[in-house]
Amino acid sequence: MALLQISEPGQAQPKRRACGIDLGTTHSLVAVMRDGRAVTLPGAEGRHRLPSVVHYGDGPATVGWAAAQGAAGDPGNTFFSIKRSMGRGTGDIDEAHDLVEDSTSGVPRFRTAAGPKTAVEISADILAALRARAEEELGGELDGAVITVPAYFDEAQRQATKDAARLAGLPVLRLINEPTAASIAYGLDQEDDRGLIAVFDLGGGTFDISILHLSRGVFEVRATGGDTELGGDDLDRILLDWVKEECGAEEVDRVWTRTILQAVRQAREALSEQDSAQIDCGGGKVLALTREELEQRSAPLLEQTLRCCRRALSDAGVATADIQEVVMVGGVTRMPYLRREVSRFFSRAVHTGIDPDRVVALGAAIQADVLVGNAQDQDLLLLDVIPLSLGIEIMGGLVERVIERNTTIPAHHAQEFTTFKDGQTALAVHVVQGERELVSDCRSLARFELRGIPPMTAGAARIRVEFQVDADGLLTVEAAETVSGVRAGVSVKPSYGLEEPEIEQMLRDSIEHAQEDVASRALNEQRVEADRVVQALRDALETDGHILSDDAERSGIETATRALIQARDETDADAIRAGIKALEDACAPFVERRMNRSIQQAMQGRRLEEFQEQD
Amino acid sequence: MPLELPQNYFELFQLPCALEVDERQLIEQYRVLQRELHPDRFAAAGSQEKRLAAQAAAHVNQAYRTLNDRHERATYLLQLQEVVVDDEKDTSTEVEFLMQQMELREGLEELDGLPEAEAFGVRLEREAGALWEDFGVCYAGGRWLDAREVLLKLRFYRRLQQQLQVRREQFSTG
Repeated sequence: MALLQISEPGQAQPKRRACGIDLGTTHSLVAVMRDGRAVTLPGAEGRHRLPSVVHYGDGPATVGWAAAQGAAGDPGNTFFSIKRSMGRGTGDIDEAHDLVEDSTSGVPRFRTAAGPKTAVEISADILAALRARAEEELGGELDGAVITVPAYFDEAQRQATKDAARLAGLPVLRLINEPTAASIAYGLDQEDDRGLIAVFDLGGGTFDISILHLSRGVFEVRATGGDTELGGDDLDRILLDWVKEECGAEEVDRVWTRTILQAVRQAREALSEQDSAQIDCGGGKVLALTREELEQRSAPLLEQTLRCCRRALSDAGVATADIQEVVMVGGVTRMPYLRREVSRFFSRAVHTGIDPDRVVALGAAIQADVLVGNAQDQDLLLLDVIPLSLGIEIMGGLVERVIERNTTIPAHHAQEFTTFKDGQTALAVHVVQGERELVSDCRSLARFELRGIPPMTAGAARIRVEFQVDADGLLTVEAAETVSGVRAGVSVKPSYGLEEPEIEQMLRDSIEHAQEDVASRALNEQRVEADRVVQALRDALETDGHILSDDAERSGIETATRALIQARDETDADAIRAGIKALEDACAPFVERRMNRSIQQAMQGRRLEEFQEQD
Repeated sequence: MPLELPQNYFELFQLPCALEVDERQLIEQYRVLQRELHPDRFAAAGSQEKRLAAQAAAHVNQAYRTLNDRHERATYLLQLQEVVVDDEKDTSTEVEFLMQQMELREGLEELDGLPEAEAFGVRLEREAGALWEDFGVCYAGGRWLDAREVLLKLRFYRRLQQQLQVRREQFSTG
């Protein structure tokens, strides 16, 4: 057993406050570390799962159980499964809500009693409720959060999730895939070589299958697949149709539909424990739903999930026999039928030990704890892949893929293109995502133009288009004409994403709503950031101060640090921002040298280790 | 790239520049590098560290992806000799070879059941194996253009093997 460490009085590093959030389609959860274990946090009413339901009335938004219960009475102002609308355009929205016309960025705005709302804002209200839970538990403002997303989420959906977190005032350390978080929760990384693991995640609204490879604490996602439009909700809709059929109901209203949907969900969940459950259809009519009937109705859903599994296995280049572990995630996997059939498909027992509803949030909390710096002894490295190929449109409406599906991120790739006409001075860059050959079959992510190319004959210009995908799967694209040096770039805001000014306006609106002072919030944010930068620098100097090149470098950094500390104690947020920038500039060579040194050490350490092994 | 990482993929992974690589060394070194460089290590650090880490990690990923696949590795070896192989546009032009490929393709379509598919797979494996030996000989002899021609032929086999995998799954599920 490891010895307990006791720090000197006054020297104890305060624990940084971090949480993991599972922002689900039907339910959401927040978890934190308590005494070295991840735990989910209950709300005021004692329940851990917060229904992802938001209601807008006269006052502030209502989130969770209260919103869900009132839904039947005011469906027009109540939002269920808003996650399905994240990062989606008007044409993709299949919601029983009115949209507000005239939206400048193409982001759909729903008409509500509290004014027009985007899916990002509605999700932010859910996140804010979870943030409050975590801050109450941890006793102060959060230093970092990890939010999970379905592995299949595309660029636009991930960006929308990050925007929502920003609106909710959450400092996001990383977005991670839900099935990956589940594997962390099961602690599979803590054991010896685990080999290939399949994570089968069937939640309320999304299905994900991930093929992970775990070895010595390193997670690699070999392949991901799934369907963002498949889940328990669909099963409920199938059962709703069954109820309609059985009751002979034809003309139904929204209120009846909501009531029956709730009833069939409860019946479905009850059937995991018992053989028959009753559904009250109103008007004195009660239907009995048997487990057998449910299994029969679930068969097409199961078949759809298995089809995704086959494809993911084939993408990973493995057969079902190669899979060593199967992890079940998502409330729907409580169904004995699903457990049995998935187990049969993979020909092995499936992991169901941790509550399948909470397992994702628990894993996210563990990861957040590591990323925020509380668990430095933990050797947790999470390697992820992009779920869909990224490319650009070329002549004839065809797609040229630049980064292939399942490429490990961060990723960078450059490709050269040329002009089509003599004297062409501009080039439209259309960034798309998807696996199909035709642009019209892929999702459009962004468009921008490279202008000012000097007139040349067709095919003479050399246009280098660079894609950079960060660790969250978010994309930046740059185009440059290499002969003349003309360049243009965009940090790709997906076509259905919010523009920066819109987010800022929403931030202002939400703050006004909370009757907070905009200026004081901005000042506070900059002060927290300044403290973080100064602290990180002090730590770096303490361990590696000897690699400063000379006294001039040291005094330059010290001057910039003093200036920042002084600005921090005054009240001008912009001055603090400038001070941070100045300090970062002053440190740049030191930071670079320090990183280089640790790379060299890592590479040499490896050689040393090999010699030792050979002895 | 601002960080001092070897640009040559083989050097980065401390491997000799050759078609055959020590896979254990490749994966171990990949993990060493990613543990040092992955942006997650800098989640709580400054923006400069994050940016440098993202660039470096992307380079390591690209290098790993290239060296981890035999076809990509061979293409890269030729690229180091300034011989370009374009996956999309270049193709073998040897008439006899192309005829033989058409026969193989027909053979693939006519497969009837798993045992036949397995036998076909063995045949592909054998023929591709012989070509890889040719590649090694050409490469060792510095005959880059000949090596390139062999590699273009091998692409046909890779495609056939992928298609065969699809057929196999059809046989075993249906």
